[in-house]
Amino acid sequence: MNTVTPAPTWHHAHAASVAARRGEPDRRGRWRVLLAMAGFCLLFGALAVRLVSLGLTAEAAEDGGRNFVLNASQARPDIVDRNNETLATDIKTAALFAEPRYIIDPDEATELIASVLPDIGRDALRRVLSTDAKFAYIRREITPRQQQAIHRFGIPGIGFRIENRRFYPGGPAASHVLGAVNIDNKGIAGIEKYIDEAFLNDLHAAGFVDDHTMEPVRLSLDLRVQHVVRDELVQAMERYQAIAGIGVVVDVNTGEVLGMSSVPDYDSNSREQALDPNRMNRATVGVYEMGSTFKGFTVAMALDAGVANINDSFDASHALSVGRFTINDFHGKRRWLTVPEIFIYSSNIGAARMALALGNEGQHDYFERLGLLNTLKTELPETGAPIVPAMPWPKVTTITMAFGHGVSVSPLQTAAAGAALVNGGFYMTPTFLPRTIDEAAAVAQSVLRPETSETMRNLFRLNVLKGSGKRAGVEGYSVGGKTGTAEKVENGRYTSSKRRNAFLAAFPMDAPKYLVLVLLDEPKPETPGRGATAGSNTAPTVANIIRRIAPMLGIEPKVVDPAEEPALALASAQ
Amino acid sequence: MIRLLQVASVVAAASAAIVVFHVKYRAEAVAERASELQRELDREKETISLLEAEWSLLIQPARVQDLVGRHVERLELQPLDPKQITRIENLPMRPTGPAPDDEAALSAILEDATGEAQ
Repeated sequence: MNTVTPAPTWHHAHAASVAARRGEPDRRGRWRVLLAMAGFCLLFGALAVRLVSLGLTAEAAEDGGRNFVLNASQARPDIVDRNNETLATDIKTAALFAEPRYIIDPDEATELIASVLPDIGRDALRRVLSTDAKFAYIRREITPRQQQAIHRFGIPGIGFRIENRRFYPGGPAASHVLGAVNIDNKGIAGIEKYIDEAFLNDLHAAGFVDDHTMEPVRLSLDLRVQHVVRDELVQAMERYQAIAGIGVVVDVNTGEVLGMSSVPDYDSNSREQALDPNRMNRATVGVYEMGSTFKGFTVAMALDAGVANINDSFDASHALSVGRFTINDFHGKRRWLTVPEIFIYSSNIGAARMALALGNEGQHDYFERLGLLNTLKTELPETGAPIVPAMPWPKVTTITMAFGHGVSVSPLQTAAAGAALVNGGFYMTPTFLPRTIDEAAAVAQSVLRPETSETMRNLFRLNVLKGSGKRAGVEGYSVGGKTGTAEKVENGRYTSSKRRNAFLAAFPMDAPKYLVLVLLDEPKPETPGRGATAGSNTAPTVANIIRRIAPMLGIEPKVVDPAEEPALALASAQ
Repeated sequence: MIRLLQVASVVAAASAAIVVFHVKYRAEAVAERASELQRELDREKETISLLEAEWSLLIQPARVQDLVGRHVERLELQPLDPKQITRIENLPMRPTGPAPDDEAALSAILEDATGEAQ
């Protein structure tokens, strides 16, 4: 409107309209004006709305800065032990990334980055930066110093993502239980994987994960016990030149695992080590013939089923022949043996005869109830299926199973079954999460009569007082246990030169609280010429563990052992 | 009258604009400060979790055991033996010395005895 004529006012327009259409005064002109007013209102209204919306969103857009720092979302909850000591936590590290499409000079950027990260492949990096891609990682988990240096260059199109990196302060202390995470902080083994599958994946999917809001996951492990078990295993492996060692400590009244170690193990902070098959978790994945440790189960089931009485005797005066197999005793007494004698002298013949008295059906039933025939399901994803002969198994299998050959189970499985022998006859699936007595009572299954369990306690105690487990004794703590020396299979035959030794113990025997199981693979004699049976290597290892953990677990040492008298009464009752 | 109204409304509009912008800038400053504090809070939390990780690294039983083993001559620490644990009521009473009168009498006898011997 740059003409000099004045803009027509409302009055002028009105007058003109009136002049033009004399017949219909005012009506049409008024409508036109209203229409114009409405149009302007709409226009300015739209402007106002846009203005307000711009004002509201402006702040959100400027926060952070687009290609500088992005927060990654793979936060994980901390893992703590039963005393709330940290076992695993997240720490922040920076990952260097590029948005190649925004990079102006790929050559310059490559040179600058390579000056800070000298080991990076320059050609490959230049190629990546020259593309038109939206996003590419250059290097993850760089140090703060490197991050600072690269940040100072101020290269456009280069940024940092803050990522969570899993850190295990204990290193190898509990690696097999905790498992591992991959570079994206996803659990790939152990409890870490369990956490992902139990709830973390769902939380991430729902977008509920914030860095610091997650409750830590508490385990049943006790870091101190865990350390002692591992430390003693490492020492035992060295002392006896063993190729592997396994140790488990279980609360017999709740089934909680307080410590579980399998050496050689790996440092959880080093992902490469975890892949070495020699460092696998033998405590839950490995299945082994447990040897004479199983005689405890055999005696318990024979007593429980009523086919044998504690005062009964069995003929162990000569070898037992079934088909082409001949069963002999390692420390042969060559006479009839009472049940306590069979147990403390670890008589294969005696155990075999007790199992035969029970029959394969009964044996199968009890093994089944003790959880030895099925795969053990705990929180740990890694678990080995037991190797069990098919039912109906022949007589010879009944005999060999009586002393722990011909059936392979995992050490943790053995520990769970062992707990049932001493805790009053209740089988509970072991757990790595805290479990109260009440929760335990809900999952416990009664598999043995309480009287049987009491007899077994006395037998275990007697075996440490008088039998093969003497070196497992710890003054004041009333340890009871059973040795197991299994010959290893080599080229399809049992060889007497290579053994796998076990010791299954519980304490204090008058009211057992904890069970300790130790296995050593191919231990050699401590000094040349001495034996390498379970009594001479796994038993003292168990003693060392108990001596250290019992005070931590608040068990009061007793000057007079209340379990000693009933145990000795068994031996003299013939 | 109308002029006055016009002036008043212009003034009102101008002051409203000033006030609105003032409020907006203040809100922005507060928001800025809030996000700054939030960032600081995040940083602090990060530091705390880092320190916690370091602390748990420092108190690892394996590390403590190693340190004790290395400085065993100075620390003179030994593993606890179960024999060292007992209840307070199982301890024998502290032996009490003779009453003052008896002590005087006893030392008198002793002096006599030594005197005679010389």
